[in-house]
Amino acid sequence: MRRFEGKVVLVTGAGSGLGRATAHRLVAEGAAVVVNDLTRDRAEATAVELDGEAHAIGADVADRSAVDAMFAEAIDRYGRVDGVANVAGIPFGAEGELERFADTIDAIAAEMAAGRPPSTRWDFFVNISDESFERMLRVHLFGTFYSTRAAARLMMEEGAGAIVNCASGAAVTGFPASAHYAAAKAGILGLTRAAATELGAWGVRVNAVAPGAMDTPMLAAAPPAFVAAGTAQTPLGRMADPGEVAAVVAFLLSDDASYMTGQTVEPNGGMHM
Amino acid sequence: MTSTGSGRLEGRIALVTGAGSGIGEAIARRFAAEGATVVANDLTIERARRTIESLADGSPAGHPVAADVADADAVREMFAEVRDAYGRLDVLVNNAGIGEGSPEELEYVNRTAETLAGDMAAGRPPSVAFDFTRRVTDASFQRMIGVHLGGCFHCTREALDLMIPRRGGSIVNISSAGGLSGQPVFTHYSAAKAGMLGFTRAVAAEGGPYGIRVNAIAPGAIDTPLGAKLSRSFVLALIANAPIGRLGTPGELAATALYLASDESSFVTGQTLGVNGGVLM
Repeated sequence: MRRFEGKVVLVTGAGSGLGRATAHRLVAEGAAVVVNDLTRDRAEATAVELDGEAHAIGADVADRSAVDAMFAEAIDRYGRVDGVANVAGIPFGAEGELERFADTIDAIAAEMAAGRPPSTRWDFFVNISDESFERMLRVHLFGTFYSTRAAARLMMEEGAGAIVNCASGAAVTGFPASAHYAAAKAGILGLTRAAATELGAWGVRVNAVAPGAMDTPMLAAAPPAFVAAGTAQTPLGRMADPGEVAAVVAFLLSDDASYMTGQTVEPNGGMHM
Repeated sequence: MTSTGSGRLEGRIALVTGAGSGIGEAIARRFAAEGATVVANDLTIERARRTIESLADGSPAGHPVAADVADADAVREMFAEVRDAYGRLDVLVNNAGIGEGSPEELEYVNRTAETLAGDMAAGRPPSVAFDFTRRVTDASFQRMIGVHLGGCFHCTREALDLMIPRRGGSIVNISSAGGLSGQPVFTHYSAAKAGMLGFTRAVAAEGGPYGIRVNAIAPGAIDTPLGAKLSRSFVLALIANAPIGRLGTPGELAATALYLASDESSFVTGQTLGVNGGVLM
């Protein structure tokens, strides 16, 4: 399948996980890929793996001028951007959050293993700091805004283009220890839908994916009991390989999805329906 | 970013109901072009055969079957034929559907839509409002539920009989934007299509451990023979509400059905994909 022959697609957060898998998938289908990550080294690490045309750019998506410069560099190099996958994200906002998360999960798991109904109570939300909340929104929501806006400006001139924003299952249902992450990801869904209503008439489609549990570095850091519980609630009974989610991103970027805009596709193994 | 004929369903046996025209016909043709052996169902064997005869050169030979999906016995016989011919089924697309419950209902909707459009064009407040539901007969309601929801159930039940022992398969149910959101007409159709979405999710939960995925597509306004029966004012109102600003094509629906039928969507189950030009988000 070579749906992206002659196309240029920019992928943010492509140094690892879903972004990296998306870059691999797009190159395998013939795209030239602009590989973004926070630093040029991280982007380059993926770019050198790719068996095809790729160009690494280091940029913090939370930095508007860095994002605008990144798109300018993509245009300088390729003259066009046909697709954008906004994947860049961070798992936890602040020092100590992962530890607090793991401690609570472990305490709940220990009680359940002992056959007791869990009496452990969460205190994650009330301990989210201002800085953590802001950082979470800056990377995910502001980052997606800056990148989508820059992409839309180019694509409206071309009269064509497709943008896919990466949300999360946390954006469509509730999980503990994720209020800042969920708020940012749910914001991405609102942005996606509103942008889609305007950009449709310009020939530009904007859609989102809301993945469930994915076997990436982000979840590798999560407590095993949390991942095990999530898998148990998933009808397909496993986590996604990042390539399976990248396949969804590729579908939405391709002309196979030419009548889809403003939609959220959830590759989550049935965890949320 | 186009794709045709990449062998995405190579070696698969796929049954498509309502494959004689419109979306079902487009799905059958696309699946065959992607390497599937297509079993095309429609109400009559002539309609099913016409689609099979139109499959692209180089496609695997197809197989026409006739059955009213609302008839459980007819569906059992159809699946017996599939079992005899192939011994298995990899993909089921529950597409068979009917648009209007009766000619009277269609006439009423078109007449009222024209009146409303005339009011709007003249800058008048609406002089009429739809009162569709109280016009729906028992027979019309039962037929609507019987074909869409009953048909989906009958075919899915038989398909699971073939899929569960083989621990795999993909079922795609063609629902409707009308199953997700309200229009003041065809309320029995909306009920049937919403029922299909509930059924999709529940069977997805059941099928997951067997490696069977079940998803739905909720199309918006698609350019089909069914849609052609609606008045121009009604269709224009649908297009005006879609950010993409045009009707969808059966081929675009088929591309989504292909995606859900294929391994490309291997972690997608219990989901509803809106292929609607943005009319519903």
